Amino acid sequence: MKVKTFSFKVDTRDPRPIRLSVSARAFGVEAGKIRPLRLSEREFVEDEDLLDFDMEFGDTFNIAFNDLIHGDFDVKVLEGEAKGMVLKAYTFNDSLRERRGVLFRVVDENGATIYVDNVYFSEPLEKRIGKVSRILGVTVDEVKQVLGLQ
Amino acid sequence: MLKGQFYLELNEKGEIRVDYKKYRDATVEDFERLANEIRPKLMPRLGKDYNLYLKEKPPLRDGEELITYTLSACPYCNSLLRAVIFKRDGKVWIRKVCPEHGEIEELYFGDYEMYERFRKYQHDGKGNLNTQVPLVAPCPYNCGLCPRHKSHPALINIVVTNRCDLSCFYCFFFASRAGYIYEPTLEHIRYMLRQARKLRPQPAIALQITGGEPTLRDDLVDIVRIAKEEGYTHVQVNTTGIKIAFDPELPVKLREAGTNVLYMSFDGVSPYTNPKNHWEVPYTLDNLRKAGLGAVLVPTVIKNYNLHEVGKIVLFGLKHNDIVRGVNFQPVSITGRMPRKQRDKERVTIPDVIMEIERETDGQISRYDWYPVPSVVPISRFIEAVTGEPKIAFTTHFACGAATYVWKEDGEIIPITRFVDVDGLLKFLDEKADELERGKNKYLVFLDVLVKLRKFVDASKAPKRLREGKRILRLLYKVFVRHDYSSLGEFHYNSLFLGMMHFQDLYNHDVARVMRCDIHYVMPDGREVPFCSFNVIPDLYRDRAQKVFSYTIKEWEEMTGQKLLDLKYKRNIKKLISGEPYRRHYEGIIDIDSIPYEDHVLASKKFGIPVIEE
Ligand code: SF4
Repeated sequence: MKVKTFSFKVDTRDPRPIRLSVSARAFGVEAGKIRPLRLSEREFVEDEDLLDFDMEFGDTFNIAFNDLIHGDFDVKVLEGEAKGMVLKAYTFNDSLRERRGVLFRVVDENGATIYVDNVYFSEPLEKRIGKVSRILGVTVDEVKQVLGLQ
Repeated sequence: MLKGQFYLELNEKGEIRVDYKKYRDATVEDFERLANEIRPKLMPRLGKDYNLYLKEKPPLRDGEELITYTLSACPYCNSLLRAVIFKRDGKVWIRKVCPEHGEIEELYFGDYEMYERFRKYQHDGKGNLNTQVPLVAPCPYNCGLCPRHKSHPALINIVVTNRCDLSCFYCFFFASRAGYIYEPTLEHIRYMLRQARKLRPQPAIALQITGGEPTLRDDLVDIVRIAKEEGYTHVQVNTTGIKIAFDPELPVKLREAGTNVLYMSFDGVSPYTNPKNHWEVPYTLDNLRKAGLGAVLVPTVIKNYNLHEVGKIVLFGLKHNDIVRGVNFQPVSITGRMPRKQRDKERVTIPDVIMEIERETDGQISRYDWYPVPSVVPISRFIEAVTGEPKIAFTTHFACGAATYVWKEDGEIIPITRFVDVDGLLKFLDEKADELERGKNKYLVFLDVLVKLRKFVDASKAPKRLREGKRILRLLYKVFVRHDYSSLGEFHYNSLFLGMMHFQDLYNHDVARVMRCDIHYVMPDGREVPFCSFNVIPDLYRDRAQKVFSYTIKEWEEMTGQKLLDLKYKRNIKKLISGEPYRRHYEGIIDIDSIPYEDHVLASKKFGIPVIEE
C-alpha cells in the first residue's frame, strides 16, 4: 500500500492568524512489530496533492489547502510503502495558541482511517497512545519507543 | 412496506429520480435507507461537474495591494481556481482567471478600512466531530458537511416546498419554472431534521422553514410541531407574509405550535422598491400583533434599486418595533450569469449598506456601531468555559455578516455602543475564557467579572427602560455571573436587531468564507450543505438533490386535484390601500398620497403579480 503524508509550515493573517508547523512521521506494523517507514520527500503539486492534504489535515487540525494559500507556507509531500496497518504521527507547534503536541491517525491495510485525533477534542496523550497501541496490536511501550517518548 | 426496496428510475439524461409517489407513506427509516443509497450518487464529480485549475496565480496590477490568496469557483464552468483578494481605491476586490473563461473581477467588500476592522474579530470554529459525508473532494465540492468544515451550524434551513404563489422575475427555483414539485412528506422532513441534529459536539438548535412559500403547505403547523419534537428550540418561518395578511388564524396556530418568529421579505417602504409585498405587510403585521408572533424584516439590497431606502427600512422597523424584532439586510447575491456592467449596477456589499444607513440616519447609526458576526464568539467561549458544555458559536467569516442593536427614544436612535463598551466587554470576556480554559479557579474569575462588569456600561446613556434601576447592569450580571438567560427578553424589549448577511455568488465566491459558513440547509438525501454551496452552486446541490425527490407537476396535480397555476396570487390593490392598516403603517415613512393608483398597479404588474379590482 502507498503511504502518503505531509509536513508543513503555515503563517497567515487573513482571515485569521495561523502560525502552525506540523511534522509528520509514519510507522508500519508487520508481524506484530512497529517500525518507522522510510518516506521520500518531494515538492507539493497542487492539482495532485490538494485533496490528499485536506484528507490528512481537515479532520485533525481543521486545516485545508485553502488555509495555506492565504499566507506564507511550505509543504513537503512524504511518500512510502507499507503492507499492514500504518500509524501516522503529526507533531505540531501552534505558536499563536501556544500549544504543542502530537496527533495520531491509524489507517488500515486499504488506506481507510480507523482512528484519528482532533486538535480541539483530543484526550490526554497517554490515553490516546493506549488506544492506538490496542488498534495496532502492539504494546504501549513499543509505540512510545518508536515515537521517541521513552 | 418499503423495506429493502428502492423505487428509482434513470431518465434519458442518465439522472437518477425517485418515484416519490410511492414514498407517501414511507417511514423515517425508509427515508434514511433511501437517502443512504442515493447520497453518494449525487456528489459532484471531478471532470464532469468541475475541474481544477490551481496553478495559475491571478495577476496584481499597478495601484493594487495584495491582501491574500484564496480559492474560488468559476461562474461559468464551476472549475476551482486560485483567486487573489486585493485592495484598490479604498475597496477590497477579488480576481480569478479561468483558463476557459478568462479573467473575472468583482467587488468583495466596499470599504478596506472596515475590512481591516472586522478582520480583527475573526474567530474560527472547532469543526465537527462527526459529519455526513467523507472527505473525498476539494471544497466546495464535498458538501456536506465534510470533515474539514470549520463551523457547526447556527441555523438549519429546510425547504418544505418549491411551490410559490408569486413568480418573481429573478427566481428560477419555484415549481412552475423549475418544472417539478419538491414537497417532502412529513416523515421525510422528520428524517432530515433528525439527520441535522446528529452533528456533534454541537447540533443545530435553530431552524428556518423555507420554500418556495412554506405557508402554501396546509400542514405547515405540523412541520413546526415536528421541528420542536426533534429538539429545535428556535423555529422561524421564512415567508412573504402574504397568506398571513389574509388569514389571522394561521399565525396563532404557528405560534401555538412553537414558531418563534416570522422571517419576512421586505425590500423597501414604497411600492416601487417592494412590489413583492408592500401592500400586504401592514395587514400581516397586524395579524402577527394579534397572534403575539414577532417578525424579522428581510430586505434584499440592490444598488440601483433600493439601496437609497435602507435608512427608511430601519425607521419602519423602529416605528413597528412592538412586533418587528429586527431587520436583516441581505446585500444582493447575483443568481445566474450577468455581464460586468450589469453587475456593477446591482452589486452592494456590507460596508455599502452600513454606510448608506449612516448617511440616511444622519450618523445616528454609524459604521462603528456595527460588529461582524464572529465578534460575539467571546461570549459563547466564556459561557462554554464556565458551564463546560459546548455552546453555539457564530464562527462565520467576518465578511459574511454584521449586526448591532438600536432603540428609539424621544425621536432619537440609540445604538448599543452609546452605553456599552462593546470592544472592552468582548476583550474582557475573551480573557476570562482564556483564564478558565487554563484552569484558573472559577470563583476567582466570577468575582472579577462581578467587580469589573460595571466598567463596560454607562447606564445613564441607556434607553429609559434599561436605565431605570440600572436594569442593564442587573441584566448583564444575570447573564454572565448567574447564567440566567430568562432576562434577555428585557434587553430585547423595544430594541431592534439590525443585521447584515451577505450571501455569496459565483462572482465574489471565496472558499474561505463557505468553509466557515454556519447557515446550512439539510437536503432530502440527508446532507447538510452550507448556504453558499446550496444556493450558489444550485445545479450541483439544491436543484440536483431536490429534483431527485420530486413529483412531476402532472403527478402532483393528479394527486392533489389542484392546478399549480391556480394558486398564483392576484392582488387587490384598491382594497389594500384603502384600508386603515395601510395608512397607519406607512404614515411618516412615505408620502402615501403622492403615489398615483396607476403607479401601484404598474409596480405590481411589472414584478409579475396581476392586479384585480373585485
Ligand atoms: S463548504 Fe464545508 S462542507 Fe462544503 S466542501 Fe467546503 S468544507 Fe466541506
